Formats: sequence, C-alpha cells, structure tokens
Amino acid sequence: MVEFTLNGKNVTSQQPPHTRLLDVLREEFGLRATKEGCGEGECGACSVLVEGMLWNSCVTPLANVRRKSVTTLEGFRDTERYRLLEQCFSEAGAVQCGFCTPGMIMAAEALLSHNPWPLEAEIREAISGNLCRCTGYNMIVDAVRRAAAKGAGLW
Amino acid sequence: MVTACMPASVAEALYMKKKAGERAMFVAGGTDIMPARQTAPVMIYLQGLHDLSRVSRSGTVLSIGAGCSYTQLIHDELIPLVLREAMQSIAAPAIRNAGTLAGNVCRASPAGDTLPVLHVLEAVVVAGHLADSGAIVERRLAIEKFILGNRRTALRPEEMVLAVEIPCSSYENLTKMQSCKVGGRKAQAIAKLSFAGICRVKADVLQDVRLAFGAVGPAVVRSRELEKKIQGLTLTELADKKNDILNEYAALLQPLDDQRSTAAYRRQVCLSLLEDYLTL
Amino acid sequence: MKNISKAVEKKDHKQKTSGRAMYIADKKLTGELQAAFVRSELPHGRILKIELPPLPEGYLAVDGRDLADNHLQVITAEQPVFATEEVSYIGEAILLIAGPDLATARCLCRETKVTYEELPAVLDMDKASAAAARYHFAKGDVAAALARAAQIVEETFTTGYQEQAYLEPQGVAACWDAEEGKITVYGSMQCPYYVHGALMRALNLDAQHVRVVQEVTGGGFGGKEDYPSLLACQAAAAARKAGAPVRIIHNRREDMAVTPKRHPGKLHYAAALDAQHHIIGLKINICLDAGAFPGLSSVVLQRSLLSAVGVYRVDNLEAEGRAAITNTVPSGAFRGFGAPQSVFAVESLMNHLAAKTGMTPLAFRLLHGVKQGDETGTGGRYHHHVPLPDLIARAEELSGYSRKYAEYARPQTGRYRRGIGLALFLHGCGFTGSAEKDVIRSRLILRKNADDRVEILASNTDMGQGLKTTFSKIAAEALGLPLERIICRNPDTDRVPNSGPTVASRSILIVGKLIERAARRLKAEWVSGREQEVQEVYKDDVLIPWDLEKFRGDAYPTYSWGLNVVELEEDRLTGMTNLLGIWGVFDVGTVIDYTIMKGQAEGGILQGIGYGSMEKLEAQGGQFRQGSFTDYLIPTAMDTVESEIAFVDNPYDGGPFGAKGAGELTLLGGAPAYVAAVEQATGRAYHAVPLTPERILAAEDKGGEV
Repeated sequence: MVEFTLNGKNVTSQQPPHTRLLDVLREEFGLRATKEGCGEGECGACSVLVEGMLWNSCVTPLANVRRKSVTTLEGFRDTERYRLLEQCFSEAGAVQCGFCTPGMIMAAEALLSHNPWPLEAEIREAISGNLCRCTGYNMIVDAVRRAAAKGAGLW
Repeated sequence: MVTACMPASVAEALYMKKKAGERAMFVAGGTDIMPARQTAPVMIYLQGLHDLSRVSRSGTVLSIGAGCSYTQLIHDELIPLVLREAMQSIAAPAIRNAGTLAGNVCRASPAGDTLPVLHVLEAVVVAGHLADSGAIVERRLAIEKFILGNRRTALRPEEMVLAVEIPCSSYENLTKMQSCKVGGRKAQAIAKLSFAGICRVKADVLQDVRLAFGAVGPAVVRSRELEKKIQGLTLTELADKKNDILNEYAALLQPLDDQRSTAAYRRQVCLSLLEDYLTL
Repeated sequence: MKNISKAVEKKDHKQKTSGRAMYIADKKLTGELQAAFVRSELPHGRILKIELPPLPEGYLAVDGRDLADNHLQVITAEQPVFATEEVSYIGEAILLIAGPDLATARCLCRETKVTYEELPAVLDMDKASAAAARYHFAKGDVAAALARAAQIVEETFTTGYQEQAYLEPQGVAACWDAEEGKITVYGSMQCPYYVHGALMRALNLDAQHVRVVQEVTGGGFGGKEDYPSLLACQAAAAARKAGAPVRIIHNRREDMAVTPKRHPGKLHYAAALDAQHHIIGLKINICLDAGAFPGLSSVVLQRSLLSAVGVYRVDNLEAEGRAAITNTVPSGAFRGFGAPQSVFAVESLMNHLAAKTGMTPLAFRLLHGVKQGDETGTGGRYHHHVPLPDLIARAEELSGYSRKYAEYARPQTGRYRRGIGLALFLHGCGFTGSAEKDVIRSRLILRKNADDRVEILASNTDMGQGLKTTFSKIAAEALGLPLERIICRNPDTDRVPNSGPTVASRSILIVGKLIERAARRLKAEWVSGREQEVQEVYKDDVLIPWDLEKFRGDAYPTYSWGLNVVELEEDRLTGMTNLLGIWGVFDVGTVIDYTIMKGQAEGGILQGIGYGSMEKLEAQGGQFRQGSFTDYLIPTAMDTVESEIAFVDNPYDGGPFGAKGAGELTLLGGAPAYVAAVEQATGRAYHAVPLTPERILAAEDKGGEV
C-alpha cells in the first residue's frame, strides 16, 4: 500500500511498492492519457509530473512517489496553461499520431513552470527525452515557444 | 515474494540491510533497476530519506548525499563544473530528475556517465553500516577501490552508500578540466566511450594531471603510474612525448565491439580526445 | 495560397492532445484475455516436439491447427500464421498462450519447451538462392554504351535495416460472436481491408462475418501495413477458441524483434561516361533482403528498381533486381518502400561522378536532369511538368547552397569541418503499375445525413498524417460546406467500402480524387434535409499501360518531386556531426493543408537523416543486435535543427484540387543529402548508410572510402 497525491487528491494504491507507476496510473486508476512506448525510460510517452518535475512513470517504482504529488495529463488538462498549450500545439502543427503528445505536454509544462522564457536550446533539451517519430520535433519546439510568448503571467 | 521497505531514516535503512544482507537491494531513482526489471527478495526504497539529499562543504571536502538527484546537483554551484557537465550529458531531464549520482556509482556500469569524472576528481565513496551498538559506522573507499569491475563494487552486504565525497583540492586552481561523452546521439544515449581530464599547469610545468576513460574496459581506466610520468613535464617536453604517452594509454584500453560501437572506434576516439586534451 | 491549402485545426487535435484519444492499449474489453507467444529460437529448424506446461484454469494454447487455413494473406500467402512443422526465422510465432493475466501467460510461454532439429540457415542475402521476386528491364543498348565509354565507374552501395519506430507498439483485440459466427478485430493498423481479407482466409469466413475496426493509430510509416494482418489472425484464432475477447499488445522489445523493417540493400552501379562527362549508360543491380517470406518484397523491389535512376535521363539502361529469401525477420514496408535505398545510391553515385569529372554536384545533376516529355526507364513518359529548375532555384534562395558549397570546398583546418549536401529525388504517386485498376478498384461513399452533415466512408486510416482532416477538407471544399459539417471516423469494415489500403502515398491522390468527384456529384444532387448517398469508383487515367511481365509502361500516373539540402559540421576527433541547417523544397501538387504538409516534410526529412546517420540496425545470426529503444537510436529534439520547408506550385489534374502523393517523398532525400554533406566536410567518399561516426573515422583510417 502506498499513499500519494494523484491529480490533487489523496489516494492509496493497493499495488506492491515495486509496481511501475505507469501501471498503477493506467490500470489501477484508469488514467490512460499516460502511454507506454518503450517501457525502459527512453521514449518519454509515459512522462508525468512528480512534485512538478518530469519523471518517466515506466521506470518509477510506486514506492518512489510515496507522499509525493503526481500529476498526469488528466489532472492538468482543465487548466489555463493546458488550454494555451493545446492551442499552440494546434497552431504549430505539433501533433500527428498523438502517442507522444501527452508526454510532450507534460514536458512542456515542466519546462515552462521552471523557466517561462526558454531559449530554443532549452526547449530542445526539455523535450529531449520525449521521442517523436512523426514531426521531426521542430513544430513541437515552435509550439512551446509560442506558448511561452503568449503565456505571460501564466507560468 | 518481494518484501518492500520504505525506511524513514538512514538508521532504519541500515538496520533493514543488516538484517536482509545480500537478499536486499536498495532503490534510489530506480532508473537503471526498473528497465532491467531487477528485483530482490527485499527491496529498500530510499526516496523518503531527506538526510541523504544534502550537499555540504566542510573544510576541504565536498560531500554529496547519496539521495541527491542529478538535476539537483546540476543546479548546485558547490558542485565542480566538470561534474555538472558530465551529469548534464546523462539521458534527458526526466531521468536526471529521478536518477542519483550515488546510484550511478553503485550500479558500476562500465559506461556510467559520471565515473570517469569522479575518478579524476579523486572521489571517495562513503559506505555505512549499523554497528550492534546502533551507531552508524562509516567506511571510506577511493572510487577505484570501490568499483571493482563491470557491475561489481566493494560494498559489503550490510552496507549502504551514504555519500560521495570529493576533496576540494582536486578541482580548485585547475588549468583545464574536461569531460567528454561520446554517445550515439545528443540526448538519451548510453556512452560509447567517455573521457575526463584535469590538470594544473604552473610556470609551463604540469604539476598535476589526472586522466580517465569510460566504457573501454570493465571499469574506468585510470593510471596513476602514467600520470606520474607526465607530471613534472614542461609543456615542451609534453609535446615531444605525446606520442609515447598515447601509445602507453593505448595499451591500457580494452574496448569491445558491441551493438553500440566498435572496439576500433572506441580506441581511436579515446586517443584522439586524449591527444587533443594534452595539447596545452 | 489556395483556399484549401490554408491550415485548419486537425479534426482529432483536441482528442489527441488532451489524452482522450483511445489507442488499442487504452481499450479494455469485458472478460478479455491477454496473450503471449512462444517464438522460434532458431533461424531455421524443424519442430520435433512441443511440450506445454500444465495450463491453469482459464488459460489456453493456440497454434496453426486452430485456423481453417494457416496461411497469411499478403500479396501471396506463403507465410504461416503460426509455424507448425518448420521455423524460418528467430521470433517466428509457434503458438500463443492466452489467459486472464499477461504475466502468467508469459511465464507459461517461457516454460514451454520446443525441441528442434536445426537446419542450415541462410543469413546473408549474397548467399541466398531463393528469391521473393526478380525483375529485369532495359532501354537502349547498355553493352554498346559501356564499350564506347571514355570512362567506366563502378560502385557498390549498401543500406541497412531501418525500424519504423512508431511510438505506439503494434496491438489488436479480437472478439468472436459464436451466435453469429462473426469475428471482430480492433487494432492499430493502416489497412483494415488487408486485415479483413487475411481473416476471411485464415478463418474461412465470408466477408459479412468479418469486421475490422481501426483504432486511433500511433504512427505506422509502413510498419502497420502487413503485420497487423498476422497479429489479427493470431488473436482471432485465440478469441474463437477461447470464446472470449483476446487482446495482444506488443511491448517494444517484442515489437522490434518480430515486426517487418525496411529491407537492407546492396546496390551495384556501373556508369559509362563519355569524354564530355555525360552518362551514356547505366547498369544497375539491386539485391534486397526480403527475410524469410515474400510478404511485400516484390512491390518494394519494383519501387527500388523504378527509383534507381533517380531524376536523371539515361538513354542506355539496364537494371535487374532480386529480393533474396533469408532466414531473418520478413522485411516489409517503410515510408518510401524501396526508394530510399535507391535514392541514396544514385544520389551518392552522382556526387562521386561529379567529383571525378571535376564538376560540382549541382552542375553535374543539371546536365542529366529529366525534362517533361522524356522517356522513363521503362518506356513510360514524364507526361507532366518536371519542376527540377524551380526546386533548385528555390533551394538556392533559401539555403545558399552553391555559395556555401564553394566556401566549404576551400581547405578547412581545425577540429570541425563543414559541408553542405544536396539531393534531388522523385516519387511515383500511388501504387506501382496497374494495381489500382486490377487489384484494388477503390470504392468510396459519401453519405449525407438528414441533418445535412456529410460522412466520408472510406477505408483509409489516419495514423497521424492528418488524413481525417485532409479528406474532410477536400469534401468540404468541393461541397462548399464548412469543415464541421464533414464527418470522418476511423474506418469500420461493416460501414465503409474498400477504398484500398493507406500506403504508397495514394490516399490523397486516389481516394481524395474519389471524394472530390463524389462531392461534386452530391452537390449537384443536393436536397436539404434528405438522406443521400453517392458512390465513386476508381477510374484509370494512366496513359501508357503498365505491363509487369515486360516491366514496361507508365509505372505511375505522375510523380512528386523534391530537393533536400543538409548543412553540417563534422568533428574530426569523433566523427560526430552537428546539423547546421536543413532545407526541403517539394512539389506535391496542390498542398491540401499547409501545416499538415509541413509536418509531413519535417518528419520525413528527419526520418531520412536518421536513416543516413544514426539508425543502425544490424542482424547477427538472424537476430537484431539493437533490440530496444535503448540501443536503436532515432533522433531526439537535440539532434536536429530548425529547418526551412517550401513548396513549388505544380498542380496535377488527376488529383483532388491538383494534389499529388506526398507522404513518402519527404523521406527520400535526407540520407543522401546528409551523406553528401559529410563527404564534403571530410573529403572522403562513402558507400553505406547509416553513415555512423564509426564508418566516418574508418574511412579516414584507410585514407579512402567505405
């Protein structure tokens, strides 16, 4: 049993502590916006925020989020910040197959919440653990840059 | 059956380890253990141990708690730049947010990204265990004594790494510090090879030089013997003897062909980086 | 910019971005079982004995005996759904075990013991005697050209495997309705009717008793063209036997170990040059590694051969090719489909010939570029405007190619050396030859509901390339309706006709044209408030009929064209490169949506550069050495740079609003342009992709070429 905060609510997982956080989120709590792309921390499709920091939930044992706050896309998508990111991802054409997108959104949020005025190189680094096979990344970089420019005060 | 422990203090963690011995495995960030799907009968999770997340400098020693994540250390100005650069080359932000420097040391991968730098910084690993009295007993080992080979360390069954210490003298007043990772891409890559070098030049004489290579042998390649030969050389002498030095290092490297690179490439690039580094 | 080219928000943008889009792994079926596989451990062997562990209650084993016909329908049907007597590659499925808990099923699979008699394996395509396909074609007199040549240059190029690396691994779920005797398969796929046909055959069911539904698909790039048929048959056999839904989701390692990749290739060129440095003859021999079964290899090889002369006119030409059968994972489709191998080879050859003649790569190309009206290698014609000069002019303007080329041609010193490379290429639009007319015969329906909304009923899938949006835009524009009034859902074979597979850059060109025609008719017949339906079928407009036996005629109705420039610096010490600039100029006819097309270009180019640089995938003893995302490296956001993408306007009457094929074209130039840039930086010639730093430094060492 592990207690943690999930999208703002206190929850207790019944899973063993070595269970992957990804499985706890998807199977136990039914939060399927978080994807499994590789299962070994290489692709970032499973990215979530832990205490506001980007983590790969596929290489995180449940025990490691004990008494911490975990945010998935489901817990972020009703915010102003999300709405702006969604709009900018649309304008920039940053979404193709969509499988990397939830992770990319979380990576963008993790970046902007710590660095509201990122340089291009900082954006690239911030999403460097999130593989995308469709877009070639530049349109995602553009989307994050647009969000930063339009999001004065949001982050 | 796996028993999971989430100790609330370092003493409790050591107590659990003492009890379970080799049947227990510590988990810090989990970024290496989880993808490898490694488990042990007893898993001890260290995430909640805030005592281990401190960086402090007392006198001439910099102490890095075993629970410090790479990201925390990259942003800490107490940490020498060359080490911060090496950590910056690890994987990507999400891994650096969870993974720890002590974890990199304990996992003892031949390709561990911080290991060559820790070698040239003369890092010391602080291992602790719980005495019968209940006191925490510390043992200090130089990093090359701690890492014995591919995935092998000198950690005893009852011990846990508490901190990594770096003598401040190892990185102050240096002339040239360099850490270089050669991976298959610019992020999310396991090193094909890596190199770290530190030296101090005074009045055209090499007073101190430390050189290390990663991923070209079961453990980091560093030769104090060769370094002694280089120390004391003038820059002109160094330039003259460079080829001999390169040849001597070439003999120490034991690179392999694998899915990531070739032995020939690893050898050649190590020597090229060394040659470039020694061009002072 | 034409009205239709203006970007809109994609139909599925909000669903995908908010994480509400349901991929197959996100769907749960009541009472479902999950399956794991027992797979061949040998590249070639006879199965002597299979010993299953005792299966707990609720678990069952499924093998080839559980199918009415254990053959997988692709183009032909050689491959078994489950290996029964013989295994032909490592990873070939022998049986599956399904049950309520995946970990238990996996464990039972590991406990299953298969005894083999090892048979000799062919692991090297050079040593293969069997071929999935062989073709030959010629024009003019190559022997005479070689005889009178002032100079003959022979070069051999090799290309490696490439993994599609779609972010969503393969997966399907199958449900058997025992009462109706009907199978339903849901899954991540490109071609619902391929899956449908394979299920009909394997289960011996008629068309009405097979239903295939595409779920949101997280990338395909060709990788989900044929393999989902195999997975569907396996899951369907299990679902029917178990009387419960069966879901199979590959994890990444399994996906990489057993799904089809781009064919490795070996391409030999002999070029005859006259005294004026003109290519007067070209003799080409191509060998592709098909893997253990023919699969799609025949058509991949056709495209390789048809692309082997690039955008150049060569009057004396002979080309032959074979797709060799080896005991390795069957190769399959990957964006470009045989063309990337050839385009790398011919573009590199052009650079090497230019160097030998003392001309710049661009000047040498200009000497040989095809023009409208020229004959193709197979006796067809370039019937439409050939925009090579337009592409070059635009690329020069954007990238400063020639200026930089001259600058970097001067001696360079220091650790980093710069280079700039260019590649020209074309891509035949749609299926090769007469397949549209003879095999596919696409059918499309536009259905108008009583609320005056119009639904597109087509079997083509959106796997990220934006097809729901581009299809809808074509319908909306032709009908004069706002985009919101057009409905385009994921195809369900119970609802949609067979408008063909989502492959070969055919969707917009072929099916988009059907949508345009149907929409114009519907508009003419429009009665508000009433349900109406309009159907369109494919009509052939190929001018010179294709003859596959003779390999002659118009292989494609028209061509799309492209040019890439890559600028980089190479680190002398490590052989690693830093990209400095990427440019892409394309003619895809009318652009249906500027942002979507730009996305295709950006993504395609980086896949091409990955192919040319870091995406190393080697088979050793019939097994891939790079078996996971940890070891198989695709570019990250830090490995690329901002690029400039432009389009030249060259509408094609045969496509909707003038559009042509686009998706595959964008991949073709990345690898050769990258290699050309490295060649200029290092002053060496290379003959292999991926051109890894290991290969770059090895060439330095040998003082020559790799």
